[in-house]
Amino acid sequence: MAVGFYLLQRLLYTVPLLVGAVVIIFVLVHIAPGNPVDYIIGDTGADKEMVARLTAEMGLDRPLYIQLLRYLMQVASGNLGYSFASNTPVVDLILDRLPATLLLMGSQLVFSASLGIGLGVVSARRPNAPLDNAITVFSLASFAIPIFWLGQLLILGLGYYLDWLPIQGMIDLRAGYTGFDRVLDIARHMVLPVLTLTLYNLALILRLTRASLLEVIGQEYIKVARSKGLSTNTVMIKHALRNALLPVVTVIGLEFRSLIAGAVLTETVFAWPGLGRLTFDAINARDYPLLMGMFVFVSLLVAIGNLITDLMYALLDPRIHYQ
Amino acid sequence: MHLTCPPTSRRRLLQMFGLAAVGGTLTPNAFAQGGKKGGTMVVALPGDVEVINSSITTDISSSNMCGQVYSTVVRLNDDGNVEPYLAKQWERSADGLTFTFRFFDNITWHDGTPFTAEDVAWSLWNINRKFNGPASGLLEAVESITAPDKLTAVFKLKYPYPPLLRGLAYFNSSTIVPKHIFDNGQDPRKNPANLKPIGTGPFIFQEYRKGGHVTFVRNPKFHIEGRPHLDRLVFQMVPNEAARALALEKGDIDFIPYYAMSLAEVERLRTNPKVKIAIAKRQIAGEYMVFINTRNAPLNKKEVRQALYYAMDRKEMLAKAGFGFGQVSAGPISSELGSFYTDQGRQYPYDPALAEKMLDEAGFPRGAGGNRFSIRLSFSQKEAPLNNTARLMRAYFAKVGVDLKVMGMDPAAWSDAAFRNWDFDLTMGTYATGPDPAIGAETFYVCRRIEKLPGRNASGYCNPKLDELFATAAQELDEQKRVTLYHEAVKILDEDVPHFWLWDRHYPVAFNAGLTGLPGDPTGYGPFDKTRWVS
Repeated sequence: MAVGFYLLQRLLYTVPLLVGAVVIIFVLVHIAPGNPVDYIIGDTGADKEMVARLTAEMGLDRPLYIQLLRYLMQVASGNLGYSFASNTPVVDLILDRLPATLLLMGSQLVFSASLGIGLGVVSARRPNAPLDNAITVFSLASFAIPIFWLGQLLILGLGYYLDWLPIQGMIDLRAGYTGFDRVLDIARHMVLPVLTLTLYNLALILRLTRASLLEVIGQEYIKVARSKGLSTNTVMIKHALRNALLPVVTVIGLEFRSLIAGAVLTETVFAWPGLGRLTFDAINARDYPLLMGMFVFVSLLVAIGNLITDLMYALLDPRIHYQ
Repeated sequence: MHLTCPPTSRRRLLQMFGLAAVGGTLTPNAFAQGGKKGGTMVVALPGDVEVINSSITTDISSSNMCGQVYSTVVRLNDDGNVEPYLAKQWERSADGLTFTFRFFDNITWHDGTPFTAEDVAWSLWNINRKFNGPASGLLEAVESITAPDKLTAVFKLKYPYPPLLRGLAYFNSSTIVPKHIFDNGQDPRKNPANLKPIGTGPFIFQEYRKGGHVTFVRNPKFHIEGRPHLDRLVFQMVPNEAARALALEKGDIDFIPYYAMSLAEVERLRTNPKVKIAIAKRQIAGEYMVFINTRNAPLNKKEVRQALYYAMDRKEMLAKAGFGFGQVSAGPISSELGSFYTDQGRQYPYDPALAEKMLDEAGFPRGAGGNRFSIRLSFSQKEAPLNNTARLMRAYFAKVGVDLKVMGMDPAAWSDAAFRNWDFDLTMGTYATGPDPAIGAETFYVCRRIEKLPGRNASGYCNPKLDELFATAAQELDEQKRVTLYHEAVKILDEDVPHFWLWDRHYPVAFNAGLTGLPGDPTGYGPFDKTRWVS
């Protein structure tokens, strides 16, 4: 009951948060230099009347506050509008690209979290031992390399010279696989982008897990557990890790916001048809409705991500109660 | 079946548009014919497309796809000459005020509906003219388009306008869309056919995966017998330049069109025997050019503009920023534009000493720090060669005591600042000077085009004598007189320097060495109906 009430309360808090985000983003997007009409008409030829007509049809001839009010009313009625550039409903555009991004980002989240936590535990078992040092150097190096360059290196090494893996796209367009073969084909195409993102993202989780574990290991209840004769693995996994995971979960929760930002470069390098590229193209085209739709969507994701993170705290630590 | 055109009329048209003189294409063997039927070709695109309908957009990738699924009234052959496409014949009245086109009688839309002249009249007048920038300019001279019978369309002109015919070959302006699909009282930009096109072209639309790829399959009822040769044509979005080149080498993609080609990759690709490089002949004849804001001091002085033009080593710019793909410009009309091109105007070879002398004489001696004045240069970061061009220009200008502040901007912000607000001293980009100077070059220099719109006379340069020359040339029916008039105009511009013309672009393309019959690419968006695999 208490959790239900807490959830309802949090969801209600989300509404003003979203409205505030929409207003700020709307103003920022519209005052930024650039004109969506210019993108549509191209760089030659269009006459003044055509430009004036398109400007009016897009509602861009109205004062900014009127445009904002209209947009807020539109969003309140569940309508994110039509893209200026493609005249397709914004919701359709987002939903169309969402699966590819979720597949990519979801997979990397699973891999970077599990590998990061796993390697963090290994590191914390014998701090400053050769294995710990090796893991530290490896993770920091992969974190320090710019993600687009890391992607290029993996393309060159594993995709081009060794020719083990496809280097771009989501499917083999020439083969036209169906059924299970198609699933395998997509999996093969996912390897390089997921590996790139995983190598980049696991460092933070790994380092945080290690630091958090080392702090927890020094506490009294761990000494009690050890004095009871429990094995090192049991102490680490059952007693120390659970408490050490709280800050790690916080960081993983924050990863939701990078669903778009983090995907832009990776999707560009690997020609992955996801939301990152959609956002990038919308920025270039000054496609206000699509851009706003994406921001509303990301704001919503961040709010949901935070909510899930908070709920995870209670799961991990029974001392935390929601009222 | 043969595509025919009355010999007299055709020769006359070729003469009229100076096409016979448009030669020297660096045509590779792969543009030749031969090979086998069937197979798939994968074409790389630099990004996604919003719509597959170039009657309502000017997007290059969309135009390229429309070249496969749709048709135009006429098309350009590999040598850049106008040839039949939907129209099998055409004639122009003696006064130049009427064009009459007769269409093939065996053309059907991909949904089985017969194609008629009404499609042409309705599409161009109600869609292209209203929703496509270049088409609205092209059809400005047209008073009406009618279809007296099912296979005849008549264009009545307000004044003679020779460039019209060539303009009708362009897929970024003159794509013909089906009346029975678009004439439904709805906004054509929201028509579902924009993403599931139904055309008359050599390939039928099959699938569009947003952000991923677009697939077309062979049109067995294409009106040109025996074509196309390929069974499937796939356009794949590959945003990363380096990945495009690697994918071509791996055999994942087969063709990188000019607009997706990274100049930096060309020399490396040349060394791969599985890949061929060719220079596409593009009739739009692009030039890299710098708009000079002639309203702003000290650039309002002709002598200062001339001096700065002498200060630039454009040969080095072409080599270092353009990777050598082009020719140093001689003026506002590219050397790719045949007889319209001339280098008889004033030329500005690299001469920093002369530049210094001219700046001194113009009243801008070096100050205490050696600096004469500061000016700004803006450009879109999206156009890769411009970054290096800007750096070189800053170094050249510094040598003669001029401080150049370089501002690389995001494309939309740059367009807004340069063309909507005229907030620049110098601003640069790549622009068409063709396919006819009346379509390409004129818009940047005539007084009536001093408008706050993209691709117009942003320099603010106005010379009534030049306006008269451009106006007379655009309507002149005699080819030789047109050429002379344009040469006169070039000489005036070369003297007055409202722009710095840097270099005339050449357009490399890269493709799988097993392909043949690729379009010589006169428009850059031509159909792949002659393309086939040899191995």
